[in-house]
Amino acid sequence: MKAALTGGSGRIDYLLHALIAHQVAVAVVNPDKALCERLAARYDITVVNGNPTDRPVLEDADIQGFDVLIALSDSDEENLVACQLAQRYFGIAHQICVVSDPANVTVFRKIGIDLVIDSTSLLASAIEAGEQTVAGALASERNDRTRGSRSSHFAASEPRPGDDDPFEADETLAFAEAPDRYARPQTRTFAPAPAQAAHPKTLSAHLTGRLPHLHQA
Amino acid sequence: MGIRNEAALVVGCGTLGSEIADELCDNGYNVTVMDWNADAFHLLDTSFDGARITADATCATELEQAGAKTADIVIAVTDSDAKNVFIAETASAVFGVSTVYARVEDESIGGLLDDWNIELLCPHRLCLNEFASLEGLTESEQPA
Repeated sequence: MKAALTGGSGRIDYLLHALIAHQVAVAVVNPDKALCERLAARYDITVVNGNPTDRPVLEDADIQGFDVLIALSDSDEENLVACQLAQRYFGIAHQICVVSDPANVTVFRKIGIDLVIDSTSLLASAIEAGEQTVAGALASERNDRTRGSRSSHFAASEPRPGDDDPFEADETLAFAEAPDRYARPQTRTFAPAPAQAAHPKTLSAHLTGRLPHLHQA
Repeated sequence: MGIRNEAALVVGCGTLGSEIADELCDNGYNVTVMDWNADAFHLLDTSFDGARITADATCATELEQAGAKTADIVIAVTDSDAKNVFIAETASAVFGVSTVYARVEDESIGGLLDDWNIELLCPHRLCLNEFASLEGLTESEQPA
């Protein structure tokens, strides 16, 4: 399976981690140059620095015929355009579109986006449904901290921000000569899938539920 | 003054949007102009007697509240191609507006509107056509 990830900031790293663990070939298109440098240093994937609403930029990422495009920008309209460009010009049949404004969910579905994820409502309903769970988690985290654990959110095998994180160390690696584009060869060696933390499990369940055939590697 | 009693929603009150709004107003349309920035409305003529709505046009609810659902004509002329595509597709495909225009500079993005009943306003294409016509050139083929 091949997936293009457009836009997005912090969460993209966790998503990449999960996708690569599932042997998904990933191409990243992101307007944030610093983020592109970090991702290219950390993962053996295609990374293109540019605006995903720009067709030539998507062409640079070589995403023709990919199985799915995942649009992660904070800007709903940019996600819409990236998904539609993928449909129209790159033969990508499935699009997963993150929407910030809940009012736009129905709109995007009507316009023909394959899967629309309403991040704001998900967060709101998680808070409503889980106030007690959240309170419990916070209490448990406080307890963990007093016992010396840095965070209760990561499994032992999960890289923690700032802890064993190669981003800063790799900042200067390899990309000085390629200011705008960070394409890597398509041949990859995947590290053995790391033990899954809660986040990747949720994602894979989601993908499996919606796009089962895409999981046949 | 015309007698066109149609409701028009102009989204984006920049140089082009304000002039379109003024023009429609002068022709008797019932005009609403929408911009996220209230300062933009100073570009309108003093004679403009339509409604001015300060709201975010990239939210379907706010578009609806500005009258996109009941408008006869919607014109998306913000400074962003992506926003104009969103506004035009929402008006056409979701609200069922029969006449929709979108200003789009990037022709690849403009191509996305082919599937919908949306009129494309492509500034550099219009300029090129005008130039070709003034200079008596044969019209160039639009790239695919």
